Amino acid sequence: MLDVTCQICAKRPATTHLTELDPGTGQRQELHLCATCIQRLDLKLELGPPPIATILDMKPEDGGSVKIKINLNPGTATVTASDEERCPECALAFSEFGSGKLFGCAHDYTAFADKVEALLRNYHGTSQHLGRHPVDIQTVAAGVEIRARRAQLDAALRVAVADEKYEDAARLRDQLRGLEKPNA
Amino acid sequence: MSHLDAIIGRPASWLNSPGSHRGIVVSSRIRLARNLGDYAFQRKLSKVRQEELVARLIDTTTRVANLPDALTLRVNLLSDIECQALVERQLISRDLATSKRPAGVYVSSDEVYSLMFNEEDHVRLQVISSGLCTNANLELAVRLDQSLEGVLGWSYHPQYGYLTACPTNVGTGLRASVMLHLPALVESGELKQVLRGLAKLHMTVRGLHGEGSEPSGHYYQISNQRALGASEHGIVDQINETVERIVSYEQLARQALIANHRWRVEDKVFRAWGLLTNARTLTTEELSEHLSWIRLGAALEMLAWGNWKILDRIFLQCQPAHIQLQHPDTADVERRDRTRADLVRKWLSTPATELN
Ligand SMILES: [Zn+2]
Ligand SMILES: [Zn+2]
Repeated sequence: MLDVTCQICAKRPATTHLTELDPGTGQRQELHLCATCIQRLDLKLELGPPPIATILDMKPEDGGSVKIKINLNPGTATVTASDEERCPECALAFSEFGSGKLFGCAHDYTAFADKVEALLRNYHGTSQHLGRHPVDIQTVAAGVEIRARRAQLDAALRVAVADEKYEDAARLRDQLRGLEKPNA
Repeated sequence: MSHLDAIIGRPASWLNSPGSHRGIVVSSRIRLARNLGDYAFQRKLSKVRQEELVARLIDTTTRVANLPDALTLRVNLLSDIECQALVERQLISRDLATSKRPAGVYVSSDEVYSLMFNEEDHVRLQVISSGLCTNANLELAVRLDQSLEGVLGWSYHPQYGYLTACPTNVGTGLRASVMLHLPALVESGELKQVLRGLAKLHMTVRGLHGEGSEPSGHYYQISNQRALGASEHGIVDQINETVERIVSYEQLARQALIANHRWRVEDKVFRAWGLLTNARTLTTEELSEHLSWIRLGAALEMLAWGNWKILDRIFLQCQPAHIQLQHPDTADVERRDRTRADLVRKWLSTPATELN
């Protein structure tokens, strides 16, 4: 690391360098701090550094303000959200999610499915829920889903038989049988 | 409309020292994060809709939970000090206390249940009690959650589970936390190593008041980091195992301290006693530090005096907002520090027979 000035006081040389990688956007954020500012903010770094956003929100004991005084990565900071894909329900763009790590509505999980999948695997190590489920939704939604899937497979099976694609037909029949099993 | 006075002067049932494991485990908390399907999450919800949401949640919870003498508060109508007092009692988050948006809290009369409305998620359901009892708390939380779900219909995804504003909570929406008192591990310098091990187990450590708070008075909260990919019981079992392990480390560290440096521990404990029974002014930090040594002294039976109820009373009632709400003219820090010292001296001189 080259000689870098502390981004909080913009005076002293930085001795601690924090780097954060946003798992969603892949954007890198860096924060360089000097020992004095670390002490001033009472950052207990040995307990694991807090997120950079949290540090920037802190109020130092002496009443001064925490603001990045110098921008080390000029030009790379903001992604314009205008032509980005947005959630049709709440109009959140995925780049807006990055800052506070908060979604705008439940539909975002579907609207940004690919990114969500990666995000969940990264944080939780999986994207598959294994806990409780609502009694109603479980039976109602699963029922609807299974009926829809069965209709789909049925149609595909009829087409396969008509086209004499017997291998496909056998595979589809197996899948249909799989649906009959409870909790498949 | 504040009925806060009714609870502020009372003990909190989650603080019933020595808790369990000889004073090492203070309390256990279960939190479930839930959202309604027909409202956007907090950041995209208009103020009008937030008002509507809070009113609906208060109405439904009051009807469905139907806990006798429960307290319902509109957090945004309370003063800053009242909000802070709720944080000190572990009933609401610091985030909810400082946000000025429409928000509510429903608290059972024993303060075991508390439901926050329009926090980061529409509902944050909390069950907190003294000692290590995450399992029992989970049962209580799930039972209330199920009855609310029947009426409100939580947002749920077949693969991701319960949907939350922040994807770190998605799945079970569960955070199980246990508050521990770890003076010997801190003193021996072994704590850092223990905490490093926790990160590998996907556990997080926080201070007394949760998110963003600094550890003080040797208190640490251990919680699960991941809410997805394990069942609720799986998550709780892992927390319990971890806690039992940390407790055994703390016990070993206490034994080692006693065996090798008994005089040093005694010195800390008796200095703390001397200071707290004589000081004419006390800051929150000073009190928290010295009270911790007295707690250790009581747990190790070093002090002839070992009145846990008084320790809990001081712990709870000498927090800044608790003092300010109950003692006139303590808005000023200097006056508050003097009042704090007066209260501590008075309570520590209570003979053990006067309580219980
Ligand atoms: Zn600096
Ligand atoms: Zn959305």
